[in-house]
Amino acid sequence: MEDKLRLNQYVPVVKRGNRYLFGNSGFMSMEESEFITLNEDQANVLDELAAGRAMPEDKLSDVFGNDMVAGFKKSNILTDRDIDTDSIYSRSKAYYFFNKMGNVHDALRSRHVLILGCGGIGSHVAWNLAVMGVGHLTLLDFDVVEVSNLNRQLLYDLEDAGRPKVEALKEKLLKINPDVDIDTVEARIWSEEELERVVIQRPYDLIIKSVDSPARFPLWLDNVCRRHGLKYIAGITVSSNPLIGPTFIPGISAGYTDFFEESDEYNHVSGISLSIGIIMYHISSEISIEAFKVLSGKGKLKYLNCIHALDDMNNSVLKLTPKKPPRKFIETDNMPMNVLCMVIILIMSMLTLASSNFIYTWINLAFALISPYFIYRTGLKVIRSGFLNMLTLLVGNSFILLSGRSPIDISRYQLPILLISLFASMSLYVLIGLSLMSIVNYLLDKIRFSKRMIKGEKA
Amino acid sequence: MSYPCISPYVEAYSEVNKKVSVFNKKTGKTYLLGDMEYDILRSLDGTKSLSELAAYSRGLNEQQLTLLIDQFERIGFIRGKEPKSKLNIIKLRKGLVNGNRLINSHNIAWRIVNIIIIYLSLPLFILGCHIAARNINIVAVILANNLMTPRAFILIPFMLFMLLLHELGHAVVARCNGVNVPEIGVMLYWFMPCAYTNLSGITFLKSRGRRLIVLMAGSFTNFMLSGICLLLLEVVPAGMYEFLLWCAVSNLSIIIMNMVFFIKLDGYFILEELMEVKNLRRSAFTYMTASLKRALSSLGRAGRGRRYKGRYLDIGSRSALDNSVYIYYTVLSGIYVLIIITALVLGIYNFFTR
Repeated sequence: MEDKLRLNQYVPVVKRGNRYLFGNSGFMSMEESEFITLNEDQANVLDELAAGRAMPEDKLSDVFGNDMVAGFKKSNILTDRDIDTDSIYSRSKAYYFFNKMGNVHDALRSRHVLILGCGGIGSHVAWNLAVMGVGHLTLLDFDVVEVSNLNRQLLYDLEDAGRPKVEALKEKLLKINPDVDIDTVEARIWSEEELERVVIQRPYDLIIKSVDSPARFPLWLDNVCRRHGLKYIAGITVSSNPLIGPTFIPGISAGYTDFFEESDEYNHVSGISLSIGIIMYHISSEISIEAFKVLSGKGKLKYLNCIHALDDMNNSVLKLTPKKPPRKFIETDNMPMNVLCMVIILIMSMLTLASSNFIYTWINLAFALISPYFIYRTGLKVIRSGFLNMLTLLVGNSFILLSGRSPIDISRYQLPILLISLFASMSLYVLIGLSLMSIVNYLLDKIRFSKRMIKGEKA
Repeated sequence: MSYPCISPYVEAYSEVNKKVSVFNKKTGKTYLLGDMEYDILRSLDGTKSLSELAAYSRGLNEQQLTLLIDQFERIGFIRGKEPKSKLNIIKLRKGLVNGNRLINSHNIAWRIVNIIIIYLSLPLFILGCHIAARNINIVAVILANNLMTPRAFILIPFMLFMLLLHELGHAVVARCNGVNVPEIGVMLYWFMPCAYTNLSGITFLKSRGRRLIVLMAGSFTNFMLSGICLLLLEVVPAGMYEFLLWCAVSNLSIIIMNMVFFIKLDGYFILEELMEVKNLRRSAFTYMTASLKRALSSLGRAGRGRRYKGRYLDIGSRSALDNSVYIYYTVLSGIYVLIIITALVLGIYNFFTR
């Protein structure tokens, strides 16, 4: 019984002539080399398997050969387990499985998310999170459903008109997935204290912000989340521009107050904000993907330290970066400057070669170690840039050594031995330089954090 | 029908916080299991069926158990399903002692050794250099004339002994930081005799500074030995002078050899820690081969194997800085390997034609 193997239902099998491709072996890759040629017997057996029949391993080994069956078993094309194909989570689980994400499902089941605002963005994100299998959701809104909302708010219908949004949304979500634990808060938030009271009620893993009705709301949320170490993702339409971001993760990324100064606020006087479903869905999906990445800990976050203002009609994106960048958080990619530094280093080593004056080497070394601090902000990038600079310096200097202008008389040694020792000393210098730099980074971090602490206390 | 049974190559070492560090001798890898998983692994004795196991375990159903046992099978914890150990000609290994049994981290003596290695090795070395510099004339003469004679080959066993001490230094510091050290042994790495410690458990150390100290401990030990040899120069009779000097110099050469980061020795792992890159070598090589492949395919036979035409739009996935680090590293280590091979070939050629 246990030895019977069946075809994994989630593995796509593609055929061209008598050549078969099993599984998605990479992103859109359909290289010729990945196709397997099957003979007639094998193709017949494959047809039987594809019809859903289970077969004993011996029989399959006779037809396909031991190696191929073992390979299929290893890449889960053939399996001896019954695979869930019916439940609401079955396809998502297959997605996690084939993207090698580990047990994301259980992780999501234990998460608790607060959704501030159940309008165009909030309701869509709530639906996404609920069907994904996030364990607990808390919905907050003060409004009732109006017919004018239905152009963009997914789950409401005409019969809901006049009902509170949270109530209607909860009912609809539970109809789709009764597994989720949903709380509702029907309230309007007028002050930072009220917001704080809501936010600290439960240990929320993530907060989705899609409200902007008091103009200072984003600032309040930012302050509260900084105080309590909570994560949030913001998404909103400002006048006609949809904004996504930032993803705030305390201690790692910049929050709303790093982008806009507090005096920058505009008070809404008049005018109903316009919105259209197609664009709202786009923003909501982006936010949902980001929320999935935060909750599961998989993938790369897209809106870390940036806010995107989308113009979907003209395919343009305005990327906002923090105004007063906290040194540790912002990652810049300033490769042209770094290349320039490397060129300068090479020129300086050539100067040493031309003039035989070793003062240039010392200046060069200092330049290689110090310049990264002016190009990059994060310690990580500073170290990597230092690595490049040091290697450039040492390659330049090895030209000096090999040209015979150095104080060391190289004619006594064989060339390979000389080169080996050159590489050894190169590594030694690089390691020492990088250690120095990481010590400096450590000290800089200390100073910076103590400064921030003092500032925070005064504020 | 046979039930799953635990492989004899699996060795466990208990750790705090309800986690157990488990070592697989066949693959040389360390895994961190929760105590529940470990209980199940321990109870796999080949007599229990799945339902019995489910009754034995605390709150796991049969489906979860199958998944868990599958996972164990994949990492080679089940008897008969271990991966075949490939004979790697570049790395021939022989484990000698179990570091966990040898070094008891609660023993005060090992603790003192740990402190000496971390804090006293560099001062000792500097002191030794200072003292030896007084007799710089004799030292220079010996260094210039006697050191690289064929007599040095007789001292290779001593070199091996010092390498073992180097590994012991790693092991002591690792054990005092609570790392599982399952193996210390000797190996032939690129046909050179040397020693090794299995420090695969180091990934479970949370603090980066601690990891760096464990990785540097070996070289610190060599600094200490070198310093001690230089200090002893003052007191020993003249006959021992040359030997001690040789010891000091060879310790230094061990350090220099270990710090080369183009091959996988201490220096490479220290570089990885300093730059906070994981799997630098592999990712650098895969990046280079992939980009070379892409460049080649775009040259002539563009899109012949593919059914579509396109290129990747990487939206901020990896930065140009990381890529240039990869390129630099690959190119230089390629050159290094070439040089080493030429040196070997030239050495052999000279040996036979002399």
